[in-house]
Amino acid sequence: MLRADLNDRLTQVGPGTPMGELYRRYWLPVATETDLHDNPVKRVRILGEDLVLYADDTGGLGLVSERCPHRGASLGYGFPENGGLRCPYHGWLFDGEGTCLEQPNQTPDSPSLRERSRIKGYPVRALGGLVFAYLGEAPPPAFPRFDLFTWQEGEGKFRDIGHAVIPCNWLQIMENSFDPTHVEWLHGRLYNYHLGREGKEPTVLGGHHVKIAFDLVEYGIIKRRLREGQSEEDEDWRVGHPVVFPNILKVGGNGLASFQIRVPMDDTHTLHFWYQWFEVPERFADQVDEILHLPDTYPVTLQGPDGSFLMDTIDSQDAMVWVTQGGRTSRDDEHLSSSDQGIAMYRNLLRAQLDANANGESVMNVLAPEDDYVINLPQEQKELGLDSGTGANPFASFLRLQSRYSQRLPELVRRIDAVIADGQDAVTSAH
Amino acid sequence: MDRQSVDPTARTCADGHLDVGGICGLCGEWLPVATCRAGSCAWVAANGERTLQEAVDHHIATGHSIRVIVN
Repeated sequence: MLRADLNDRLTQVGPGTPMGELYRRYWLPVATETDLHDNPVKRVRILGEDLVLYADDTGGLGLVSERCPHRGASLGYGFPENGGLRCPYHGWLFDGEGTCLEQPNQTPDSPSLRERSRIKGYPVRALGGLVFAYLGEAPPPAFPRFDLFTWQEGEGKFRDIGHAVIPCNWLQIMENSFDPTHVEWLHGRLYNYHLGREGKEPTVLGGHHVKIAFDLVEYGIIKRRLREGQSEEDEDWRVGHPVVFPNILKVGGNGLASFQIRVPMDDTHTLHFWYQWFEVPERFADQVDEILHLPDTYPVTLQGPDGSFLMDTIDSQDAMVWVTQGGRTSRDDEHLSSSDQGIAMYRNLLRAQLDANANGESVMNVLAPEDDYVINLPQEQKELGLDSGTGANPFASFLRLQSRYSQRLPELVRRIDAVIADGQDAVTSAH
Repeated sequence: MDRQSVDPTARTCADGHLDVGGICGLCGEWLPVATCRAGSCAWVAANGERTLQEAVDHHIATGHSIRVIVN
């Protein structure tokens, strides 16, 4: 259990809160480049702050407070012009640092009024299809060049980014990443129950865990699992799943490498990115060229029209258990069990990092600006029980993930199905 | 019970039973053991609820990798 005051300390993210100040030490993704390309002015809510992200008419990026200091209208309905963002109401112009550059109809021009009209502006950078913001004190730390963010598309490799707003506190989502045995039940036994009712093939995710482990390492925590029938040489145990402190889980396998990134919007909402890279077997690699014109960004559907969570993807199953705990769950009435040791470890790591930040000490994964190097993370290949060695379409199983809402992956699966069918036809004809 | 403390500073579980890591044979409370993975370091903690806190503190102090296994 966690006392209510400690729960507040770990979960509240607004300005001035301990966790809010810790999160303000990190670059956080706030949008995708594709979304911003489609609409260059986008309202975002991050760490309890209402902001507007925009691409100006010179290609530069800015992130400023949403509220115009003139009459309080939303800059989220403004438009980019002259290297900044204009308010929709009376055309006041702001640059990315929040400086008011122009106040049309103010005659004579008043430098004093312009100075008093400054708003917040935060640094923004794009990398790997994501737009990152830094909401903390200057100078910003080094950019988070974790391996997948630096990959390039082409030669059978492509990127796909799903996103959704999850209506619950960020910690409920992250704690799920330190809970290996939920896979056995939520994504195994429960999923098979629903698949069985629909007459569909079961998953192989229901295997019983005989041993789990959690390693504290320099960038976070690696969770490991050993299921019945496995040995310690199996990748589930030998490689494990790395969690990059504080909010990135790396998972994948059989052609998928992905980050699940959880960005606190406020105390009861989290912006979730499924940041995925697919590597297609050489036999099908040329099919990738046929899908790259499609958008690499898509919204993920987790709930049906009546608000009930869908049980047909692993990700909507996860969202169901995150959200049904409550917007910001209490923890003074919980009963952690032995399988929850990873959660306890993570909470202790959070506690230690909060203390370090409050004391002005270094915190995990906040690197000096000059430490701008790529950080490679381990990646297991067998997670999700997907098997590409059966002769079937090796990517079809990914449609049991939120990837089914992608524009790229389903098209690729259709194309691979066609290639396989053509090959079988050719074999049949040869005989 | 065939249990042996791996840490001379071991304390007790919430119900006052001897804390040696693993499942307490009397009350069933989970008592984790954290083991340092650095070859030259013999640090081990099995102090009930404090185990994971001490594991994090040791990691921060030394940079060593720490493992907690749940069987």
